[in-house]
Amino acid sequence: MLASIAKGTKAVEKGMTHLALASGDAMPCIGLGCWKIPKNDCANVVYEAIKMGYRCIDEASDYGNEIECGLGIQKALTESVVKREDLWVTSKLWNTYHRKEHVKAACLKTLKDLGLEYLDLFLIHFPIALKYVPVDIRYPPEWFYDPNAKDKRME
Amino acid sequence: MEQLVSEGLVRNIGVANFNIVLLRDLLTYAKIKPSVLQVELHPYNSQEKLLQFCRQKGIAVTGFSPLGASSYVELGGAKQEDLLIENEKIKAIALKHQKSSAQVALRWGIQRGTSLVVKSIKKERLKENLEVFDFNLTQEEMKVLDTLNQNRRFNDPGVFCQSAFNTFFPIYE
Repeated sequence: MLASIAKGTKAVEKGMTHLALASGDAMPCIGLGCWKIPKNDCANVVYEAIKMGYRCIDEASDYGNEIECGLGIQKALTESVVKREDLWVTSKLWNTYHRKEHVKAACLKTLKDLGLEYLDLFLIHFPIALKYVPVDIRYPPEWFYDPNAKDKRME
Repeated sequence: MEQLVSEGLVRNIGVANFNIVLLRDLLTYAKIKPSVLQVELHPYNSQEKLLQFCRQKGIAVTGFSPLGASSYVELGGAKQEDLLIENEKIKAIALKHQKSSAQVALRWGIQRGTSLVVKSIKKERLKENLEVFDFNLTQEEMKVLDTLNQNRRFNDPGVFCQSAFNTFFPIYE
């Protein structure tokens, strides 16, 4: 049963497993949030979650674990635990890629890391634009431009 | 972002951590309206006005940190007593439904028409967080949860960027 966003109904029927989007897509109401899942655990957590019934994975380049998350997704797809079209994958554009010329490259990098051909949803992560940091300089770039700043403070 | 949709790289686009003013601005020039807004949502930060605005505009809302403080205690952004699972009113509702406080908080989010992203690396917790489709909170119980709001935001760049990165990036006044 799809909860109707547009009509603003506060449906109370049991279930309500998906939200209907304006685009016509249906987004699962519970997703696995990947923020702060340690790299070493991420592939396995994502794989186990999908096996358990999770159909929505919430990622972001800033989480620093998209490659590992991708391995978990790929394993589930390869073993036919789920079909790609039945899985919802969200990722987010980081603050340093807001300029027009950087958006597509950032999206392609995320797709490559996740091992996917498309995302179900791509969000602007924060309404904050930061100075561009090339991928080979630092990835994910995090919040500050000076790559030594963090280290200096940690001393 | 819009071009990514026409090129088939992404099916939907949207924004996160936007407030009503920013959404109003975005809607004046967006050729493809944002499908989804993702923001911090839990009983202590219910953002009812933002939700109402999004309903009006046909924007679906996803809540992050739906269990409130739990992700932020280890980061130093919240204290033990901020945890939703410690709330006596939520505990009482949970007991009635033979569910956990976490499941009640998640169910509240679902019944108010939002989707939620929730993190765990423990198998039993992952399972618990998924088992929220087999019970309903009554209207009265929903109201009890609605009244817990404190506008308590745990993820505010205007706060954490200063403490973590020595930079200042405020969004909210």
